[in-house]
Amino acid sequence: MRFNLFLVVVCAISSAVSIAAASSIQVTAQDQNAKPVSTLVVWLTPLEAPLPALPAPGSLTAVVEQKDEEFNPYIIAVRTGTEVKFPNLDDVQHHVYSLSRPSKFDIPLHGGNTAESIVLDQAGLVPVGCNIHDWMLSYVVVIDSPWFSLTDDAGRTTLADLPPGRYKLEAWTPRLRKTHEQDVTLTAGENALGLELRLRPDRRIRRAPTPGGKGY
Amino acid sequence: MLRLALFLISTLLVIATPGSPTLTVGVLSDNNTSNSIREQKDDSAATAEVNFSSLRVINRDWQGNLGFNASTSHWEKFSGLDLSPVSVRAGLRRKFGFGPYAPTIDFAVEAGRRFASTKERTSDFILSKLTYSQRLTPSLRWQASAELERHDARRAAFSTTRPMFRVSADYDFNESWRVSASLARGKGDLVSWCRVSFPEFAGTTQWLDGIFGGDWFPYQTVSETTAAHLSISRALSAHSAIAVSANFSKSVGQVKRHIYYNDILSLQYIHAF
Repeated sequence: MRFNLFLVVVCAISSAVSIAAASSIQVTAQDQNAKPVSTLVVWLTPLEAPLPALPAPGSLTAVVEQKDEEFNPYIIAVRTGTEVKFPNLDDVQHHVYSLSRPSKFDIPLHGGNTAESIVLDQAGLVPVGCNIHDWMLSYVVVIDSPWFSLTDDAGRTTLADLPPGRYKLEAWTPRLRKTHEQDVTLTAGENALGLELRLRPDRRIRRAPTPGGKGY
Repeated sequence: MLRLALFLISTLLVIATPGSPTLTVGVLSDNNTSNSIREQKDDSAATAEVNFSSLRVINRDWQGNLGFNASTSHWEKFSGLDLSPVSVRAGLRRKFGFGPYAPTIDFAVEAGRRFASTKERTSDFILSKLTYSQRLTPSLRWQASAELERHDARRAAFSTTRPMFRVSADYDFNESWRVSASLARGKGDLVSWCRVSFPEFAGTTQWLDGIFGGDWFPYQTVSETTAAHLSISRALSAHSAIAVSANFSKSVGQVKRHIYYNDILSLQYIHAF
């Protein structure tokens, strides 16, 4: 009985120590004009410890829907091995494809909520387009690390439950020339980091139709 | 009344059908509706057009397309020029690769009936068009096309065959503003209107259609046409835009080397449902 009580006390102390030792980091990103950068994908990879094991392929799921002839969401971050579903919620057909190095696929999808899925089993950037509607574009960022998030409209995001230590922080958005990388050291408790990123203009293919004009 | 009813029914059907329907309304002015060298008749018109398109993937490289088009024009001074074509269209697209930068070749055939307020001008028509298109950057796309249009009207003067070659480009300054330009050239039948009082027709008997007045009649000449088109459009949303366009054409008759000039200015609004 005394031994059992001793074990309970030891476990409680260990949990308290673990909770106290966990760290979090709030990242705030703004561009060269001091405007917040939203939908910036931020992720951390430990430099002094191995990454947690990847989940079984297909055990995690995500959705990139086609609605109103647009992909939703425009940018999404998923863990390596995630099954990404592409439901077509429009009346018209879409032909979803990617030519990226991590994943090459093309899926013709009829309207009326038909869906197919792809398991993304390699880390990297997977741009997704529609071969019929040129303006449709989505980015799936596939990440080995379990610690990733997207910034909100205020340019902020928080990554929590990280063991203290040294990490490589990476951040990506389509308007960056290349992925932003820097080493950070997380101490127990709350950490904060501000990023200033130089963004290119947002040049996407125009969707609005053009009147045909009258003439010969 | 019949033409308006036909247009309204077409609009409702198109909007209700799954696919990609668009509606375009506008006004235009033409400085030489009579295509005359001596007495140019200028006029303005209100126009409306509905277009429906349904694309299907055949395989990795081919897409099929079925479409429907109905339009109408109403001229202010010379209502005899009013036209309302209704047509169906079938097309094939070969895409050489994936994505917006892959070049495409489209072949389309459109057939229909062009109803005219001047009954003798009502015609059955067929239009075939071959287009090469390629996007070079997110902002720049160019096209080259060859088309052949044939009208068979109740009166021979309005039956025409007209091939046209065209090169065009669209450039987007930003997400709102686009400029489009094209050059076209072709040699085919041109319908012009003349008076019986003109010297070269003195003593001849002509069919007077009454479009421009009591002594005007239509006649046909083979001519070489060169046309330049410029348009500036502004996107109002992801689904709609407004555009101002100018089209300048010069047609040279093959027999008497008469030169016909035609300047058309238009303002249009388009909405994609």
